[in-house]
Amino acid sequence: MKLTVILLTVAFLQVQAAGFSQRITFTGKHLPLKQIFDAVEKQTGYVAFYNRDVLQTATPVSISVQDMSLANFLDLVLAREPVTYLIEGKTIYLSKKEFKETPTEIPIPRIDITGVVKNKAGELLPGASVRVIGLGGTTTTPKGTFSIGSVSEGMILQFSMVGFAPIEVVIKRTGDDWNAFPLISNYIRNVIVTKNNGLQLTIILETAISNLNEIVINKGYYTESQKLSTGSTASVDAKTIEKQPVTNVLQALQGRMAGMTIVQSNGFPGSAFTVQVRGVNSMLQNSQPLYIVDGVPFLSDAINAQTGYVINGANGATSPLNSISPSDIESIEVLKDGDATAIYGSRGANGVILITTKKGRIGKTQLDITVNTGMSRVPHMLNTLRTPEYLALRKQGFTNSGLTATVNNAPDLKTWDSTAYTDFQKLLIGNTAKATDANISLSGGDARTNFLLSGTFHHESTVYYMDKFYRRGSMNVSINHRSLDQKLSVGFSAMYLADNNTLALQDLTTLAYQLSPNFPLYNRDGSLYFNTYFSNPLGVMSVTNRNKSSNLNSSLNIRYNLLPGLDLKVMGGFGRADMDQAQLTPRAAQDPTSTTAVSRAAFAYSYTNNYIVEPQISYERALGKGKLSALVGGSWQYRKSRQPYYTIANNFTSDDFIENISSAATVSTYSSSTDYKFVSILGRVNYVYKDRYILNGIFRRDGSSRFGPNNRFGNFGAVGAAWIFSDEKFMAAQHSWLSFGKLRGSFGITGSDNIGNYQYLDSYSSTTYNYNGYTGLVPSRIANSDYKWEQTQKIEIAMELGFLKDRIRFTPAYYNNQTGNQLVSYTISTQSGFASYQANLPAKVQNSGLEFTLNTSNIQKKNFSWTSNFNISFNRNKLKSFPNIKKTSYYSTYVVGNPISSIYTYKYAGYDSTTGLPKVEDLDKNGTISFGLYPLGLGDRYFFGTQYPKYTGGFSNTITYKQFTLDFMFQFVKQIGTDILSNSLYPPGYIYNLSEDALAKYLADGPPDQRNVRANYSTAVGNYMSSDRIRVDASFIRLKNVAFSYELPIRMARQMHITAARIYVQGQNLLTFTSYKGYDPESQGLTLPPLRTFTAGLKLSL
Amino acid sequence: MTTTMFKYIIVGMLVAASFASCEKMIEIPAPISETSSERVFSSDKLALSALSGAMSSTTSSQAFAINLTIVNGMAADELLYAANTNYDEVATNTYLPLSAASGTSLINSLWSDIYAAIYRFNSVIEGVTASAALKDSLKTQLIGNAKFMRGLCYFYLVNLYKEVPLVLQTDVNVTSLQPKNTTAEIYTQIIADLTAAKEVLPADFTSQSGSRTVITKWAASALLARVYLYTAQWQLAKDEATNVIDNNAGLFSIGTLSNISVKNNTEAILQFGSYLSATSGYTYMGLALAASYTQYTITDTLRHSFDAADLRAQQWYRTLDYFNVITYQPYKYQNNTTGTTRLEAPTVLRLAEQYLIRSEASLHLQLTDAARTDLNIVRVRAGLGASTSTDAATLALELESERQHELFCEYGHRWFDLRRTGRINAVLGGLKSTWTAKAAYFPLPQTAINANPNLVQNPDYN
Repeated sequence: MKLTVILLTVAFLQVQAAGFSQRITFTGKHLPLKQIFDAVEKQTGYVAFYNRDVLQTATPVSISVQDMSLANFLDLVLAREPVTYLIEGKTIYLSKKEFKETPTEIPIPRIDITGVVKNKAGELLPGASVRVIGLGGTTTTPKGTFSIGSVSEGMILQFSMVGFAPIEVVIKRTGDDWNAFPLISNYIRNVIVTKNNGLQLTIILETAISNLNEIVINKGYYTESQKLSTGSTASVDAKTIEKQPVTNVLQALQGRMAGMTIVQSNGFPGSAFTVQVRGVNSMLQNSQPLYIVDGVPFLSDAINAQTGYVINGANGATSPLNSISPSDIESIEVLKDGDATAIYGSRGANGVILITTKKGRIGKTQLDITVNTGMSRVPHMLNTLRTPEYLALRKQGFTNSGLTATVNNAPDLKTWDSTAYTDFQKLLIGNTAKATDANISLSGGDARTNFLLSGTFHHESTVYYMDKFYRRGSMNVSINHRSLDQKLSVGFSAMYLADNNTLALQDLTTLAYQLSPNFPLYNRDGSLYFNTYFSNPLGVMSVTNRNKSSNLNSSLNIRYNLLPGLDLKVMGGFGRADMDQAQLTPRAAQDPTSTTAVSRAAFAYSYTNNYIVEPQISYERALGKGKLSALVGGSWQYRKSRQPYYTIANNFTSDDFIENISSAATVSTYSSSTDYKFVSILGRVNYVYKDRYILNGIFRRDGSSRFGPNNRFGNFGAVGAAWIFSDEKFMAAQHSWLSFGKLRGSFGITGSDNIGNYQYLDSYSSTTYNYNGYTGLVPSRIANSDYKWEQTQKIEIAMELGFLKDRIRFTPAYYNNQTGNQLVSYTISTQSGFASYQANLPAKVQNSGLEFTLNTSNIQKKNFSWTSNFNISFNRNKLKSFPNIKKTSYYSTYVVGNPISSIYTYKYAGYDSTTGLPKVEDLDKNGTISFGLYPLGLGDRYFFGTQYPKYTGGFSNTITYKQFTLDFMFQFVKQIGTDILSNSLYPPGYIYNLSEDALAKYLADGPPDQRNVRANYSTAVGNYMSSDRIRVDASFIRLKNVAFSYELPIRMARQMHITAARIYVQGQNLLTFTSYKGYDPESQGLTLPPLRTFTAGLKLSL
Repeated sequence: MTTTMFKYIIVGMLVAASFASCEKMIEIPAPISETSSERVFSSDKLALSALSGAMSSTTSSQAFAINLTIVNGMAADELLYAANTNYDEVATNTYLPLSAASGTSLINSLWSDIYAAIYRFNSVIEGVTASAALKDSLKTQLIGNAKFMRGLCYFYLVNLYKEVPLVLQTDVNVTSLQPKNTTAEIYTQIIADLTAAKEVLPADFTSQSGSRTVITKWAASALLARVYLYTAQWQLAKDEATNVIDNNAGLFSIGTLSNISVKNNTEAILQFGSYLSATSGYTYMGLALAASYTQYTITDTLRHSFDAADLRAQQWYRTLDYFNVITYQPYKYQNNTTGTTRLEAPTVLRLAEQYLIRSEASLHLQLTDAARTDLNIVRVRAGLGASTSTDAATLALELESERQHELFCEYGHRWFDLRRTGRINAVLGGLKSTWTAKAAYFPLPQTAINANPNLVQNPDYN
């Protein structure tokens, strides 16, 4: 620690010395150096110190500068002198420079360049960045002009602006004439030289969308142009997100990125999502990627799941990304391969998702107002049996099972009204949920300072019949400032969101489907009816489940340009997420005759504070015929999670006092804490040679508190290379059709510390129970101090191709990821006292696959355009090796060579003509049907396939005609699913209702006399339910999103004194083409499916 | 210029390197609810807490709170689940290791609950033994308590599953792959644990002001008597039972029928002070007592087997109307309302059983008169006349019946008795058409077998 303090002090002292904002304004011709240093002393107070002989060989200098920093001034003055300097304190030490060759007599010719930057429509662009690569730069004036001095031949100027494709221009000299050429020949029309003498340029920037070649991509610690990137990333921008009526941004990403599988687990707001980037690497089956919001790592597990006890409502674990309003997001980048993810080292194995929030825009202050309203419904219901058919089936079941129906085992036949019928699907989940959204944002600024203020509000109700809602409000602030000399820039952004989720405790879809159609909701006296087979849905609904959460995410970025090309950056971030929960179960919601029917309440509060500091030095310069960039940085993160209380209170004096803990007869309170610290150093070196050959190297060393004291640190890294072969001379002839061609590859090692905290800690935990007067302590876990980092080796080879002036862009990629040293919760026989402990497995899991992305600009006319994006990904997962598996607890569950999430099922073998029940094959011919795996010789279940999709993808289109824009997007998934029939282990004829489709399928597999309809559990039917007969194709093609909008013509808008106006209608999950016969092939089973949503809205810019 | 640049880069790298090399930057404290094992066993109070934690988590586990009674009760001929057909597998003895139905998972949870308890007591024994800081007197006490409980746990395991791995330590590398031990080895260990416990445990309840939740040497003796009986060591069984019955310095005496579950009643040798009874007087041992219905009902077989004069038939179960179906609820534990003054505690060992043990042991030792005398103590309290039988075979049957009626719904006596006396096939085979001889022992949980290649399933279940 001391060392750090000293070094930091040293570092800051250095910064202060060099960065002392001493400016020099100086003009003179043929002046001796001594005279110049005298002037420096006068203007800055810095004294030059040197031996007499040092300046003897110096030549007089002509120079003219205005308000230049001391260091730059000295660099310029001494550039061609045999003298070098060092600044310490307020002293400039001069010494002789060691020359390796004689300095050229002729000074290098230099030129001042001026010009303007415009967009394609000819409008001037203020605030565009103009940089000399390796030396730094400026921004365009409010009139779009720029001037840059002292440029020599071969230097590269880069023009860039948010939303536009950057253009790089190389400066050439022929005699007295100067010229400028774009580095990429496609831009030849975008660089217009208006005057050769004293070079004057007009640069025309094109919007990034129309020129995918030059998108600048965010890679977290650095950015680079897509063209020069050696790694694999995918991105989605605000435009795509805002077209979709979603509450969680992950919904807007479904089907839009190659290599990314996103599955929504249910249709509730706040529902959890399973996100996989290129498959599942870990045998823990945990594929959570790392989320980074504006540089600050974001929680990937629910806020309330960070520590202590978790209260979950119907939506399951709340996705923390629900705490970011989609309208606040500028862009999302997904880093996939080793090259892109290695900069995140130990946490990059499962991919990295970078979320950038909106920032202020340069230009006139603009007020944007968006309001929309919409409604959602369950897309389709299932055709469950009506009362007469249902009761007939039940009677048949009792006959076939040889049982007598009694009031106990058949209340539906004996007690309930046999003529009653309730359509429980319609009642419980058949309503229309309404949603309202409003967003207001104010943004503006100039080249030096800009800001954004935005607020959003969202309210939605549910498809339930009771008044439950989800409500969210958020605020986003972003301020950026640059000093006059452009050296210091400071950016601050903060996002705060608060929501209130009062959704039901329990998903009612199961009840809606399974309740007997004649189930009485009420007793004759009007009170709720209860029995042991079903919970009364009205009782369930009267349980209050209330989650209030808030989330603050803020980051401060300070960047200082120390020397030309050398930047010092510090990022500090603070985040706080909390969740306040209450679950109230009044006595009235429960069976009054049950002893456990007392009013109960659970209250919990959890919060997580996240601190991060990341210093970084980056350096960029021209080197030889290329460009070198390097960065070195450090990172320290501290996540502090607390659950101050989790209180269960029982037996309140009355339901009226259910929130008053002191009215409860028994109260127990628990509290818990979890700390997590993470420290790293990281570095990157990138060299671009002749703009065609790129080499990228990344290193990171991470330490994590999740590991035992002996194994805390791990090393990670990657090497990537790319070759833009289309820029080679020999390809010039092909440019008519092949406009761009790049071959890239990378190899990297990343890791994962996605495991629980404290697993190495040998400790006892306190319990609230006591025995003989002593409060209890129990062993917390089987501690293991020896487990080590899991490592994923990633290999990728890809091509990036552009055809016909990039109107067609095609990117095929192949990857192979191997994860070894698997860090798992190692299953052990319960005889050891615990079911598992943290340990490494020698197993290797491989994910390999192909990804294809195709972007086409089909029609590009003045009034009509049509662009399409298509992506498809194939991932194959397998357990590549597992030495000595036979000696581990995994010997019976995994087969080497098969996917880690394999489907093993019995082989359906028709029905038994004597019993009328379904049969499954005794594959191992041992006379009994046993559950073990046939490929391992342990039983009769064979390998049927995998739960992972075979391929996934999406196809999106944007069609613009004059002021109208139509977007539509199809998502498709090829996968195996489970028939809805198997949602009950009991055969049809048992008390659960089911759909006509499910019943028909079941009856078709039995004898004509339907003896397989039974009123009780049967092993034969149980086996059938785990057989290949219930595995069905759950593939689907979904019209995921349609958005239609009309933009007011600019002329009309001006007349109305507004900048722009747009009205739109949007739809989500509109149509699904599938042979799956349940609610939804994505969520499957008996959960509330993703809802079909329509919204209409208006966006006004003032 | 370049040198300056490199200087910055080097400084930067050093800063970064010092970041990463500094172990302290990632040091974190233990969670607020945890403390290191080392520390636990260096303080008297925390060590006592570790024992208390092991005790309370064991006694409040599903196994000891309810499952031992209901699973064994249904598997034998005592109980039926009246609410629905979920536990039919247990009641019809058709449990199979591969079944996914709730009946089998009920059986499986007995295994994991009891082994989790064993881990905790092993952990206490290891921690205390290794500790240099604790007083010797305390160490003996802690180890004595833990050994008693470990013995009790293995007594149930060996009687539920027959041969099981004898886990006596916490090192996961050893324990997770242990194969089964023979029943003889297990019983030897149980006897060794209980004998060692008996030597050191207190002779009275004064340490907790009379609360019978204290494990005494009498409890060790009483459990030893039961173990000797189960292993047919008649003389030893008789000696241990005699030790409890006659040498207890007035601590124990036969009380009234309605009070056998009341906290600290005179008949109780050991009661579990679980949190269930401490707060509300309500206990799961009453098998989900409700005012108007029961989930578990006494079987007709058991109900009809009571003699008309038997007071236990009037006091130890009651009749309820459950949706027009008459059910019979076990009523040894009677608290179903909170706030009552009648405090009950799950009773693990009580004096009546010791009389029955001594009676049975005497019978095997051909001491028929002594056997009858002890039997009559239980009979007379139940309102039955004293037995006058002199014939050993008749007495044996009377004893079987007496054990059935006296000990029903108390952690599965009936199920174990039927098997150890060799009567199980005759009795249950006559009652249940689905009865098979292999059902006398439960199958090992398939998950345990799946996770341990050295563990083999009980014969006939493969």
